[in-house]
Amino acid sequence: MSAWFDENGPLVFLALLDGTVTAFVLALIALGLSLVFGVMRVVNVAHGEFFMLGAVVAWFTFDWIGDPLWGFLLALVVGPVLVGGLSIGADHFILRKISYNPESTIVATIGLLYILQQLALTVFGPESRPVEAPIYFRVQFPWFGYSGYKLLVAGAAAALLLLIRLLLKRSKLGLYMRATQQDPETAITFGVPTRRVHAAVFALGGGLAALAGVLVVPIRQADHLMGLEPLLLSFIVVIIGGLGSIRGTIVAAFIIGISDGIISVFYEPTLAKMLATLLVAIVLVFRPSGLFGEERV
Amino acid sequence: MRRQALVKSLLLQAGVLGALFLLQFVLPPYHHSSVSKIMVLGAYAVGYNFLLGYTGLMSLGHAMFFAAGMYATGLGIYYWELAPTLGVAFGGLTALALSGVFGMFALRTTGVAFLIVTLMFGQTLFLSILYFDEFTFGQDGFTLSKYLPPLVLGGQEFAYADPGVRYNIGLLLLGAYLLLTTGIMLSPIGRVLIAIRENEARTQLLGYNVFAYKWFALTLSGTLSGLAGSVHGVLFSYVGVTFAEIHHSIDPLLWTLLGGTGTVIGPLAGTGIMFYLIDYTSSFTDQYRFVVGAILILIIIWFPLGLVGTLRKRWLTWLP
Amino acid sequence: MAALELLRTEKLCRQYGGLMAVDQVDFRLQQGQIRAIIGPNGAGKTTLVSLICGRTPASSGRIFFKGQDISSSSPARRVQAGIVYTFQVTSIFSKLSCYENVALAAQRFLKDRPDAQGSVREQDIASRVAVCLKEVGLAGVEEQEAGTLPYGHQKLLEVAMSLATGPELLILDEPTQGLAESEIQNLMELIRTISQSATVLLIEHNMPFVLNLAEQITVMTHGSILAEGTPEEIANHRDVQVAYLGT
Repeated sequence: MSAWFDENGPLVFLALLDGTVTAFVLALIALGLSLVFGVMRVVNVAHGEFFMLGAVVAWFTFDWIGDPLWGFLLALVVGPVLVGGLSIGADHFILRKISYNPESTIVATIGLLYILQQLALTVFGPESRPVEAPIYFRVQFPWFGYSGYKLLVAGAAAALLLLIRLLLKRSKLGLYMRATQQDPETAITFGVPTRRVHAAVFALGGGLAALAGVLVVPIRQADHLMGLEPLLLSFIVVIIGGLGSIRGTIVAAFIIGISDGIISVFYEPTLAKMLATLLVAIVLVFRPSGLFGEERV
Repeated sequence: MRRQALVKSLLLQAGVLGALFLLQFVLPPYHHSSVSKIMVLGAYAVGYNFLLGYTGLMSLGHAMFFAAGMYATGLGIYYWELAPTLGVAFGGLTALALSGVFGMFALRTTGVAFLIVTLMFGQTLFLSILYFDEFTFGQDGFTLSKYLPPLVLGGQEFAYADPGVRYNIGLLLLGAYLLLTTGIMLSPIGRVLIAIRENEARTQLLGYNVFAYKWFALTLSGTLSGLAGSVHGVLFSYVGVTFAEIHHSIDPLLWTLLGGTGTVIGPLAGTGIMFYLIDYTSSFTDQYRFVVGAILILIIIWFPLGLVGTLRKRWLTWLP
Repeated sequence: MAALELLRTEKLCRQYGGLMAVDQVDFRLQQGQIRAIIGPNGAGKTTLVSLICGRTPASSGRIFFKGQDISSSSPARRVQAGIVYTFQVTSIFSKLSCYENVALAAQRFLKDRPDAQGSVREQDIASRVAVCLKEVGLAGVEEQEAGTLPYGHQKLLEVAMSLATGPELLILDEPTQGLAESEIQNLMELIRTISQSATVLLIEHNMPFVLNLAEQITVMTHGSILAEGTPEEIANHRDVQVAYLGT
């Protein structure tokens, strides 16, 4: 055992570190998906493309400004705002038109996915492009050095998660969201502007995905097809965590992130994804409300 | 009244199939091969529509069945040197087994959960093909042309790669699918499937075992899709992982929605239109995804009945 | 004539949170009767019949139909056994033709007959559909889309569907609701005809209708049975007048 650990201990540690970073970013993306589903009952298949757009925007601001730090900071503002605006447009011109019918919205957001992917392919091109990290330093562990930026990403994502939690608990928007989630009809009679709440939630969800994209791009480059994988992983997280449950989403992101890290380090990333997908499909079949979610009526 | 419907429907199909049969003598080679492809993919769409259009279950994972049929056939021919016909039969059986087992699980869910479960299982198969790449040749796929002895019928040899053979096998497949689905839809089983689409709870309260009917529909739809994949593999001599991708699950959904869910020739019409639309747009732009995306959104907002469905509602109420 | 007992419940209960919607009900129904259940809103009438036809699971207690314990049978099984429920608010397949609506019911009935061996001929279905539509007075609407029928006719179509299902016990939930006076008269005749071949259990608020039609009346309040008897007995029952008729 100890011999095994001497040999593999550093690898396990690396897997845990990588897994933690993945988990925080994933939680951020999945939270957006989960909020949108929870409040609007919309499964947004284009969610991954919002993440991709964030990353692509970050590449453009970096390319335009030339300075990694300022480019990054600008992207932190432009990415979510742009994607948020786009989301509001999509809500107004598409989702509302089909009355948020669950199956129609899936088809419509698949359409949106294709359009956004093509948009990125057209203006950005088919290749993967790296973005320099805004800050570069290494944190030295006994066995190896680790990218300080990755740890910063995890920290920033954690801070954002806290912020959203606070927003939901304390703000008027949070109250409106909960009211809309429970019963849109009643919410309207109590003066909740459900239309604006829907737009705000969709923008918030998209904005979170875009932020995650901006944060991640220095670690993993930008390309126009990068949206699919986080979309599937977010599905997995939201399903395990329970559709519409925030705490469950975060717990599930950790389960997925850490196990993805460990299996990827010791085996193969494809295997990790294969097992996760299969597992989650089975969870959904036998416990439609997720492992941690409450039973919905 | 049902007899009338049957007659009309058969006439229409006979007309379409007859026209397709005659077309092969006048089409230039390029379109000849396009139409062959459209007929096989159209058969896939007909299989898909059996579940979506007539039973009301939307799946995002049918590429799983298509690819299962295609890979079972392809691997069987490649490794065990199965005759192509046996290979196709093996592919169909594999799809039958897969969809039957899958249905037992997936049909425990409904609505959005069903969509996601189909998506996830589809993705699992896609990733498995990539993961077991030593066996499946992963990303690259493999060609079958060297392993396909010609089909011998009545002492005559037919090479699968021959355009005429391709075209007519495609036509036969499509014709068989249309006939089979129409037959079932006009039978007592079809009546119950439509009732489930219209009002599942009420159907149950009439004393029907709704789960069994849905399971039947899913299994048949999956088998038809898988068999289309098998035939596609043999006729076009290529087995590749793109056929297991999500996009390939979305395609029949798009074709069916475009043509009209729950119509007999809608899926085929949708397949043909999309095929030529992408073919045409990609001749001057590589932005066919815009077209796909925009069409999906436009249909779902303005033409939820699809082309044939809208035609039927507005002008041609006799269309089956 | 000692009629056969068709349905019996024993200590049947249904609890919603702290509320006993149906509380220890022992209900008996003889074959061939027209029985009405009356009672104020929230008395548990609809819950009781929902328990009987299986749409709502019982919290406790047992249900016997023709001597068989059906307490754990699925709603579909109970329909097959002959317990047919006709909805308070119509629940037809509004986008299908009237023919298809009744055919669905007829097909299920014919398919489950012991001599059918699982296969049904379309002409048998068609003739059964014709008979059922004629019985409720809707002959000739076969081709019409069910959702386009006037409301009263939709209710009759619903009854035709129930008839085609081959009921031994036909449960009608508020059949007169939303009907015009002339339609109610016709409905009364129809129910009398039906009762020659099936037992009828109806929930109804329309008192003249009930007093005129029912052979036996069960009065429910607060989830239990308050009284039971012929229309005359019920009309003159002291407790019933206090609790329900409000005098």
